[in-house]
Amino acid sequence: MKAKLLKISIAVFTFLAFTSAVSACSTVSYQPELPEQLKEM
Amino acid sequence: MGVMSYLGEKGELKMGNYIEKILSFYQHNVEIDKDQDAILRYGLYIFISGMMSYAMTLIVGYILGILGNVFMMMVIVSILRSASGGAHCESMFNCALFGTVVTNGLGWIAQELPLTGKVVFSICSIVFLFGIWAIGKYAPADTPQKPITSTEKKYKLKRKSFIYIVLWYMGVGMYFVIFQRLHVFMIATAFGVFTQCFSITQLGYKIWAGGDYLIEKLRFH
Repeated sequence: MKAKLLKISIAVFTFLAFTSAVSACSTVSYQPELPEQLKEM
Repeated sequence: MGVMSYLGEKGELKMGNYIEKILSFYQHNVEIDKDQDAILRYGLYIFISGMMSYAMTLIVGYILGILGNVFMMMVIVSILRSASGGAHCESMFNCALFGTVVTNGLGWIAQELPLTGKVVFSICSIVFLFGIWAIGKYAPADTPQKPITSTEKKYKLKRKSFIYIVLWYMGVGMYFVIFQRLHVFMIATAFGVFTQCFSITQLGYKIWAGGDYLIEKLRFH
C-alpha cells in the first residue's frame, strides 16, 4: 500500500515537472534549474 | 539576525534539506533510477515552492480582506506566465515574498479604486494594449535556470500568450455584456495581466532584480 501511494505521488510530481518543463517558466513560484533530462522538451 | 534572515536564509536551507529528506525516503521505499530522481527532485521543488508562494500570498490577502482579488490575480498570472515566462527572483523565499508584496499591493489598490465603467474599461484597455505590445516584443521571456532555445517552442509560447490575453479581454467584455454590471475582479485581473506583462520587459527584469536585491539586504540586516 505504501509503495503504491509513493508511486502515485511520484507520478503526480513527474507530471508537474513535465508540465513545468513545457511551459515558459514556473507559474508563480521560484524557477529551479531545469534538469538535463527535461531540457529536450 | 532579523526575522527576515531567519525566514529567508535558514528557511531556504531547511526547505532544501526537507526536499532531500523526502527524496531519500522515496529512494529507500521505491526503486527509482538517476533520471527519475532528477525529475522527481525538480517536481518536488516546483510543488513546494508553488505551495509556499500561493500560501503566503493568500494568507496575507485573507488578513487584508482582499482574498478574492489576490486569488484571481494569481490565477491569471499563473496562466499567462506559463506561456509568456518572465522574471524570477534568485531564491524560493525571495520569489514568494516579492510575489506576496506585489500581488497584495495591487489587489489592495484594485479594491480602493472607484468601480465605474470609465475606470474599469480604461484600465483594462490600456493593460490589454500594453500586454499585446509586451508579448509581441518580449514573449516568451526565459530565465537562466530554464532557457528557451527552440524557435518552434518560442513561436508556440508567444502565440499561446496572445490567445490568453485576448481571452482575458474578451472575458471582461463578455461579463459586462451578459451581467450588465462591473466587478472588482475586472480591475484585479487587469492588474494581474499588467504585472505579468511587465515582468517580461527589460525594465521588469530590472525591477525584479531590484526586489531581489532589496530582500537580500533586509535578510542580512
